[in-house]
Formats: sequence, C-alpha cells, structure tokens
Amino acid sequence: MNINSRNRNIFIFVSLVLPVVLFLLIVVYPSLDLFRMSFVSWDGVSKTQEFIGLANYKTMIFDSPDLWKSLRNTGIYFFIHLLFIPIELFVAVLLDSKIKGAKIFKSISFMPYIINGVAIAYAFSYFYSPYGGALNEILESLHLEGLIHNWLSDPKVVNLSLATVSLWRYSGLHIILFLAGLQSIPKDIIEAATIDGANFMNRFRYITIPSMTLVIDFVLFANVRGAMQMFDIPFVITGGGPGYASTTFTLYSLKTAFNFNNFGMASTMGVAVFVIIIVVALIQNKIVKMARGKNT
Amino acid sequence: MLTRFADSMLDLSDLEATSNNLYAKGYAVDGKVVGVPDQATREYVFYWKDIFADFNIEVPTTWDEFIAVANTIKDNSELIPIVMGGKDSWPDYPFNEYMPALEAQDGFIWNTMASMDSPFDADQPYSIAYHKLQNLYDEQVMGIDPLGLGFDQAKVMFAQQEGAMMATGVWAYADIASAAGDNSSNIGAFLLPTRDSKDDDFVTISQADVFLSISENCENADAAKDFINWFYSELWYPAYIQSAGFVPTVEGVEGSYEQLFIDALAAQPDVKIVVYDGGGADFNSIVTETKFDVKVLGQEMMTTGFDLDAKLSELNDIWAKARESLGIQ
Repeated sequence: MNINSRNRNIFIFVSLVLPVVLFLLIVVYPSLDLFRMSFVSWDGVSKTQEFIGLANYKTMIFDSPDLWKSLRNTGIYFFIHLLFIPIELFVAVLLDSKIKGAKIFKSISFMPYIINGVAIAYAFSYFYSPYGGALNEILESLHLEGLIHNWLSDPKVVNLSLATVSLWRYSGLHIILFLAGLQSIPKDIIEAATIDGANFMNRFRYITIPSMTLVIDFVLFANVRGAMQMFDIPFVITGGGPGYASTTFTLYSLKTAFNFNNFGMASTMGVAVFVIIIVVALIQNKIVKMARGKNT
Repeated sequence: MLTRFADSMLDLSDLEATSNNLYAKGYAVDGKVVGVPDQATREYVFYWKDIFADFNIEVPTTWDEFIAVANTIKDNSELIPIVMGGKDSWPDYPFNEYMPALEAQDGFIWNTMASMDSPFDADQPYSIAYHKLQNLYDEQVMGIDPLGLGFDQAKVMFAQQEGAMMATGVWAYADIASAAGDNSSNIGAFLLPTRDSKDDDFVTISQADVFLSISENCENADAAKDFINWFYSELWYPAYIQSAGFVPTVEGVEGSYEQLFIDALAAQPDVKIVVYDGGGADFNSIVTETKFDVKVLGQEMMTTGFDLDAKLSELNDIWAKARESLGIQ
C-alpha cells in the first residue's frame, strides 16, 4: 500500500468515524432500545422494568379500541394528502411553465412550510374558533350560515378541519419537490417530443411522469411518514379531543406514555409506526412500479 | 398521586418541615413521605357581581340552584352562563375530577373505587355525581361550543364579561383579574355547590400541591434537606405564601387572601373540606391499564348524543377486568 492510498484510507476513516458514532448513538441505539422497551412494562420512573413478552403487542392489537380510532384518524390525513398529490403535481407543472408571477406563487406556496408549525396550529385554532373565529365570520358575511359548524368539537368534522391545516402547511413542500423534479428533466427531450408531435398530455404521461418517479416515490413516502407522525397540529389545536375524536396515532402514543405512564406500551406503538410506514411505503412503491410498467 | 415517585425519591419523614406540614404525612406512600407540599388549592366559581345583580340572582347554594342560575342567564341574555375551555380537556377538572369525591365526601374515593369491581353502578357516588354533571352539560349552559374554546380563550372571555361564571382554582385568579383590569373588583367567588338540598352538608375540596422532593440520586442530600427546612421556616415561607396569595400548608402560618375568597368562605361557615388524594398505587395501575381519564370523559359528556349509562356500564366491565388482570383485591 503506497502512502497516498494509506492517507486516503485514513482520511475516509476520520471523516466517517464521527457521523457513524453519532448515527449509532442517536439512531441505532434508541431504535434498538425502543424495540426492547416494547416488551416490558414500565411506568417511566420506577427502577425496574418487568419483561412481559408480547403482552403489549397483544393489548395493542386486540384490546385498544381508542388506538384503532386514532389509526383511523391518522388515515384521514394520509388519504387527504394522497388525494391532493396529483393536484400538487399539476400546480407544479403550471409553475414550471412561463406564466406571469410564477416566482411569487412558488414563494407563497412554500411559505407555510417554513413557518413554525406550532404557531400555525395556534393561529388556526383561532381561525376555527366558535366565537369570533375567522372561518365562521367569513361564511356569515357570504350569507352561508348553513355551512357554519363547530369545526373543532364536532367529531364528524374535526379531523377534516385539522387535515386541511396540514394540507395548507405541507402542500407547498410537495409542490417545490415536484418543481425541482420537473426542472431536472432535460429540455431537449421535451423539445424533441414536441417536434415529433407529442401534445401536452402525451409529454406529461410519457416523459414528465417517468422522469419524476424518484420524486413521486419520495413525496409518497413523505406522505405516509408525515401522516403516521402527525402530532403538532392536533396537539395544539384540539389536544386530540373531544374525547379521542382527533387523536392521531403519535398523539395517542404520547398520551399512553405521559398521561397513563405506560412507556412499554408507548414503545410498542412506536415500533408499530415504524412497521406501518415501511409496509405502506412498500405497497406504494409496488403500485408505482406497476403503473410505470404499464406506461412503458 | 405520588405513588410513581415513591421508589425514586428520598424519605422526608424526619424533616422538621414535614412535621410542621399539615398535609405531608397524609400524602405519604406506605409511610414514606415523598414530598412536602408548599400550597393547598381551593376551587371556586368566579362570577360577575353586576351581572348577578342585573338578573336579581342570588349566589346558589345547591346543585339545582346552580343550574337554575345558569339557565336564568342563558334565557335572558346573550352571555355564556358558565365559560368552559373544554377544548383543552383539563379545565373540566372542578366538575369531572372533583365531583365524585365531593359526592362521596371522600378524598380517597379513587382508592375506594380501586377496591371495587363495579364502582360505576347507579347507586355509587361516581355515577350519582356524573348524572348530576350530565344534567348540567345537557342544559347547554356553557355557550354554543364549550369544546371549541381553549382555557386561555375562555379565561379572556370571562374577564371581558362575555361570560357570567367560570369554575376554576385560586391559581387562575391573578390572570383573570389582570385581564379584567379595573373591573376586577366586580368579580366575586363562591364555592361550587354540589349538594342536593340545603339540609345536606356543604362540601368543598382542597388538594395539596407543588411538592418539594429530593431524588434518591441526589449527591448533596443533606444540603437539599437543609434547603427544604429553610424553605418552610419563618425565614422564608410566611412571606412567600402571603405574597403569592396561596393557601398555606404549614401549621401556624396564616395566608393572605383576596377579599372575594374570604367572602366566599364566610358565606359557608359550616363548610366541610375534603382533602383530595388523587389515587394510590392500585388506582394508578388501573388507570394505566384502562386509560381511565375523567377529563377526557368530561369532554365526551359535553358532546351531543353521549350515552352516560352505556359508558358507565362499559367502565364497570373494563374496571373489573383490569382488577383481575392486575391481581388487585
């Protein structure tokens, strides 16, 4: 081994050692410990943690109706965001064309994402307020009193109210990601297709979409991850109520740990989130791959 | 209440501060004093004296009178009779957490319930208290949407006289008075009347709060014990508790209260004070197992169409199962 090669290896080792150590300490160790804690009964304070095998998993699956309700609530965020992904892609295509004011629209659409999430949630809790809340005031001024609701206390609408806030906050991020994907498509391919007579829809279907599968995969993954980890919006706006009507899976885990002192069960839910994200992401990938196969 | 911390805190039984404290030994866990409380909470219903005068309303002294007062305000004005920040769930604690203890006149009611398989039966204090509460919630006297308001919003609305009454603790008064500004002298207070008739005992609740404890891992335990002794000594505690306006926990120390609280207590000279415990080890184990949460249940009771009897029956079932699986006798 010559000196250059040895120096290169030392450089690689020194460069990697710190990130690897941090990765092991901050990601791997807590993940393994979370997995271990999912098999114990622990109140978060006691010195002893009793090993109870799969009891937490059994209780979580067969004996936690409120948990299933929270999973259903989480699903509302997931599906509403999923429904809006084609619209976000369409907006990105519009902003990628040479329309007037595209830059301002890009900034406006991204703005909600960079504002503090807790501040947004707090502002929206006043927006939906039954007394002097902007939404009901707007509806009243438009003589649409029939649409006025108890936006945060009616179990039938509360999740839609909260998912709308989430949509307002995260759609801009998706649009910017799609925009980055669109701008990475070589222009000469599109020009060649145009010369060959491909119309807008053909170009979109056969060039734009296949060129952006990586971005679409990422946005789909971010959607399932974001939905499963949805916390700040329901926590600040409704606290998960009334009852458990707007409690998301993550919020339920938090309540399990800190309100009911059951850290073992909360860890089990953490493992479940991990598994659900992977399973849904894999299913989405499979569907995207199948759709891609049909198009080629 | 302090059971969870029993293993991780030092025993403070021998401290001078503990022997002078009116509450500390009452909260001991199996004889171990885990913490020394620095104040006792009291619960009141704050009200606007001028609004009561406008409607010719007397301060209520029974539960039915309390509901009737709220209905009078609802029927004759646009005001919210009882402002409730129900969106946060915890602000219903004067009702949903304390009412069973008041009904039973038993500060240890959670421990009593933990020893029973069917504590939610119709003849039990919990069920009686919750049916009384359900009557109140069903009267719609908390505005158009009590679950759409957080505590901060509710507090401001009461301070701005958009509501006539608000049930909460002494601790909230400073904020309410500050938001009310010059008008704060117009705020009165009365003890929540939970009794059925004037012939029954008038009962109110008190709970020790803000416990000073020492971790078992403390490297300077002796210094920490000296600090706690000093905190509760003549050198510090009387001046501190009087400036804060809280109810003192140390024997012989007088509190300094706002006039409205003195008047509220003077109005019920024979009041019985129930010292609230918060639940021991068995109760907390059942809570963990069943996710029993009275404040969240209070939110559900404020929603339309809530079936209290079905809920109580369901609670009996899960309670008995939890006791069995936890091996509680």
